[in-house]
This record gives sequence, C-alpha cells and structure tokens, in this order.
Amino acid sequence: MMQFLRLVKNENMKLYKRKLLWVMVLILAASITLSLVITLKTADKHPKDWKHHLKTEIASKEAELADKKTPEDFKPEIKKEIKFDQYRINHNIPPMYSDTAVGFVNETLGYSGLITLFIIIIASSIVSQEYSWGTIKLVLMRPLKRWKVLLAKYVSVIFNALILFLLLMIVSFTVGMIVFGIDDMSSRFVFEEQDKLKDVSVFTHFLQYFGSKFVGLIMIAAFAFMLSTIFKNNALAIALSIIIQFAGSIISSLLSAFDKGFVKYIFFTNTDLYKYVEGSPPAKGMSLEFSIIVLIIYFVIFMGIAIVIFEKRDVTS
Amino acid sequence: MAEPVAKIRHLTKRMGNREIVKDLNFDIHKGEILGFLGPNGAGKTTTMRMMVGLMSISEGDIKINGKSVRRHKEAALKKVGGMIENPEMYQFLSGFDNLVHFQSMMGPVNKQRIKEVTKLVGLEGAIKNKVKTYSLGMRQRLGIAQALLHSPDLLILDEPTNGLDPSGIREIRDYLRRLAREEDIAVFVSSHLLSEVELLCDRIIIIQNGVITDVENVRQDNSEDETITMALRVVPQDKAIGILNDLNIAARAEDGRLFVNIAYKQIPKLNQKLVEHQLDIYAIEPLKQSLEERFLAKTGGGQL
Ligand SMILES: Nc1ncnc2c1ncn2[C@@H]1O[C@H](COP(=O)(O)OP(=O)(O)O)[C@@H](O)[C@H]1O
Ligand SMILES: [Mg+2]
Repeated sequence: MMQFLRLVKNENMKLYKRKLLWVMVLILAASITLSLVITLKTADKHPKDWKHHLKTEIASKEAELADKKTPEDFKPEIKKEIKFDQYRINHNIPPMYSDTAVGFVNETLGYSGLITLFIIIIASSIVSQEYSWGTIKLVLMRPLKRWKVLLAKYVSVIFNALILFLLLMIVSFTVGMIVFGIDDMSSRFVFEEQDKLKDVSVFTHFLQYFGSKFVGLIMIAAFAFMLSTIFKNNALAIALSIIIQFAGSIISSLLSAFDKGFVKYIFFTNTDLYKYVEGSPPAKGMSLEFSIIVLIIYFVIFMGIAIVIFEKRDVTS
Repeated sequence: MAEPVAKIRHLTKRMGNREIVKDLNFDIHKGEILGFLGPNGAGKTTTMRMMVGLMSISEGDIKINGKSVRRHKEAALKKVGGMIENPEMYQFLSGFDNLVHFQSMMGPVNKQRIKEVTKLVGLEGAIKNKVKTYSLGMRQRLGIAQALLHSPDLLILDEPTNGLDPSGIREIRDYLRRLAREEDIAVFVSSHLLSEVELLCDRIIIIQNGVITDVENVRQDNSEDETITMALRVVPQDKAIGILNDLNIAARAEDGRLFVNIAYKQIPKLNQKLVEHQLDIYAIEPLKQSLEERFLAKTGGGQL
C-alpha cells in the first residue's frame, strides 16, 4: 500500500514539475475571472424585495403570453418561467441571482466541462508519454508488477481531477463571497424533475452536479487512458475521447430517435448521470441504477483491457 | 567457484517467425565484468531486455540469485540494476528528482544512498540541475547512478560508453572497475566495439546473429609451460641469433626486432644468456596478441 502511494506520488511529481497542469489551472482561473467580469458588467443589481420583483415579473410574462405577437414557440418557455417564479414565492425561496456568492458558484459550474477536457488530455498522455520519452524502460525494469504502475497513473489522474473540481468550487465561492458578500444568499435550488418542481439546499445541488460530472469524468478518463495504453499515442486518444465526451449525448439522442434497444447499453448514453436529477433519461428503460451498473461494467472492461495489454507487451525501443 | 549471480540457459527470443536470439547459455559471476560483444543487430539489446523483464522470454530461462525471471519476475529483479540503450531520463526533472523517482519505485526514499551513488558517478555538482541541461556523458552517469540505487548484485549496462569521448569512456571504465572490485557486484556490459570491451572486461562473450560464437578470457595469467611469443630489441642482432640458435630457439628478425617462441618459464634463462654475452638489451616484451587478432583468426576475418 505504501509502495502504491509512492507510485502515485511519483506521477504527481512528474505532473507538477511540468507546465501543462499549471497552464490548465491558469486557464481555469482566467475563465472564472471572465465570468466575474461579465457578471459585474451585465447583471443588474438584484432587487431588495425579491418577492415584489418576482410578482411584477410574473405579471409582465403573463402579459407577454396574452400578446398575439408572441410566437407560439416561445410560450412553453415563458410558462415554465412563470411556474418557477410562482414556486419560489409560494415556498419563500429567493432566486439565485448571479451577483451573490452562491449564484456566482452556480454560474461557474459549467467549467467542470473544461476540467473534463483537461483531464482527457492528461489521461491520454500519461502512459504514451513514457514511451515517447523513452523512460518506460527504466520504469518497467523495476521489481514490481506492471499493473501497479499503470493503476497508479490512473489514480493520479483522478486525484488531480478531484483537486481541480475542488479548486473550481472553492475559488469561485471565495471570489463570490469577497465580491458579492454573503448576505442575500439563496440557500435552496429549485429544479424540475419530470414536470414537477422540487427544491434542495444549494450544497446538495452542487454536490449532485459535481458528483455526477465527476462520475462522467472518471469514465471518459478511463476510456482515454485505455486508448493511450493500447496505441501508445496520445493524439488518437485525445481526439476519440473528446468526440465521445462532447458529441456523445448528441449521438445517443440521435440513435434513440430510431428507438433501437441497444442505445441504452452504449457507454456514452450513460455517462451523464445529472440527467437523472434535472431533465430526463436519454433513452427508454433507463434508470440511475441501470446507468451505474452499465458504467461499472464499462469501467472494468476499459481498465481490464489496458492492464492486460500493458502487462503482456514487450518494451521495444 | 561460488554460485553465479546469473545463469542464462537456452535463452531464446522469437519475434514473428524470426529467432532474434538463439539458445544462449552463460553465467555471470560476482566481482567480474563480463563483456557482451557483437555487431549491431546481433541481439545484445534483446538479450538484456529479457534479463531485466522488459521483454518476454520465448524459450529457456534466466535465473538471478536462483530466482526465475520467467516465473518470478519481481523476486528475480530485486537485485538487478540496468540501463538499456540510451540513458533516457525525465528531462524536466533534476538529476536528484529522477533518482528519487526511481528509488521510490523500489522502496522508501533514502537520501543518503542517493548521495552515495551521486558521488560514485561524480555528479555531485550538477545533481540539482534539470537533466535537459546535462551532456550525454552526464546522462550516462546518471543512468548508471539510477541502476545502482538499490545496491544491485547484478548490473546490466547496454552500450554504456556509446557516444562518449575517450575521457568519458575512461571514467565509466574506472567506476565499473571499482564497483566490481569494491562492491563485489557482477557487471554485464555490452558493446559493439572490441577495443572497448577488451579494456574493460575480464571475460567476453561474443554474439553474432543471435548466437554465442565465442567466450574469451581477457586477463589470462600465463602458465609456466605455455609458449608465448616474445619480442626482443637486442644489439647486435646477428650475435643474438647465434646465441638463440645455441639454445635451440628459433628466431625471426623483423623491423629491427627479434621474435621468438619460447616457453614462459624459459624467459629468465634467455635473459641471463644474453647478459652473459654482454649484449645490449633494450627490451624483452611479450607480444600480446590482441583479442582482435584472435577474434579475426577464429572467425576467418569476419566483419565485427
Ligand atoms: N521490435 C522488433 N521487432 C522485430 N525485430 C526486432 C525488433 N527489435 C529488434 N529487432 C531485430 O532484432 C535483432 C537484434 O536487435 P538488437 O537486440 O537490438 O541488437 P543489438 O543490440 O545487438 O544491436 C536486429 O536484427 C533487429 O532488427
Ligand atoms: Mg543494441
């Protein structure tokens, strides 16, 4: 166990002593700053009496619905907004204005996608780079099992993904607190689950959001990691993983339109567990439990293939 | 003789349907520097890759300290240090961090030991610098340091002097000598340069096309009865020839020297006679037949 931790530490050392990760951290910081600037520039100061404000909002939205000039296509969206506003008034939950600490965190949640992109790049190169550097020889002539070396690399990737997620949350919350203060914080998050409105505490919401995104990240990282181990080529691993990560949901919704039974068993149909919190499952017959089982099976397959190939392969040149 | 550190038996490597290395058999002993000599493509690197567990073994086995590399790789490699082909290290890490990295793969980090090996290869001055600033010679030395971290019984070095200038080669030779003698470890070094192995090694295995063609002792002690060729520089020469003929020793004059084939134990007697006849003796020296000559004689002038 100590030995395994030392292996993970080695991987972290190799990551921290290069620029790549620091550039990523910088990009993340720049993105948060950009969000801050945009929020400061564009968001109106949120109203003191939010209930009164929401009531006037509802009134004007209803007027819009009644107006003949409003296109039919817009109407469901407006109706939904009214529903949300009404729910907030009834349950005494102030809206999550983006010029509040919690609201700002909510604004920057989407950068978890950026982190996923970074982690795909790291996972795709952590094995193949040892081959291109030629250091794989020195690594694999040690008196230890090859699978431990491989697993330590994957664990290091996931560890650093977790660090980046925490960093994103902590930094944007801190920035939000400093800039917007901690008064006026909405403490509950309202969302729609299969046509019914619900509310949870914001921390539950952030946990659910990051948790489900993190599961997706673990999966796509395992996929990239496997490709990189098989082909000793990071470009291929990065390209394929990015396509699947960012076009996967489009592909699976296209496929499910054909109503084929196999769609729900596809890896990338299941990776976004947040759909079970907000929104709807991508295909019929899917549930949270179903997706978790499918993901576990895929995970074991991905890591299994990577380990078997890594264990067996001769190290030449 | 003590049990060898490594026993190589019927070692064979197939790739596709080609046999890269065929039925190799040899031992490596404590305290010896064993040379592995052969032209490029002979199969030296392939053999060494199998010895350090980088390549699977098609047939046969390697036992290190009695443990099979084929069946118990981790146990067999516990006391093996190596460097295969180029000394590729992490360029973005310092020499020190590279050593920390490889040491912690085997056990807890021991700064004292890192200091020791750094000193042994003479890298104290540059160990905190990034490897990308190192010269090839420094990288080779760091490669050797890395291989010595866990005090191995067997050190496997693939062309460690490749690309080094003569002084660099000399340095490496000195470390290896010291290691073999002082720490009593077995050193297995490959090279495609005859002159180099000859200077460095105690014993040489010659490999060609994946097959061992010869095993040579480099440092041979002449036995009493062995006949050797001596070169004499004596004036006047014709008088010397007469004296030699009286002793029943055939002599042949060439380039101002006399060459004689005599028994090792006869050398003092020959010297005595020449002195008795008051000849001026400038030199009496054994004509060392270099490994190259012996090698060429054996292979019929085959290209090495
Ligand atoms: N990965 C490989 N696949 C097929 N043949 C190889 C491979 N690597 C080396 N060889 C062949 O094996 C032979 C021995 O190579 P090698 O062990 O590197 O020789 P040496 O180290 O003595 O120069 C060469 O003929 C080479 O072409
Ligand atoms: Mg070679």
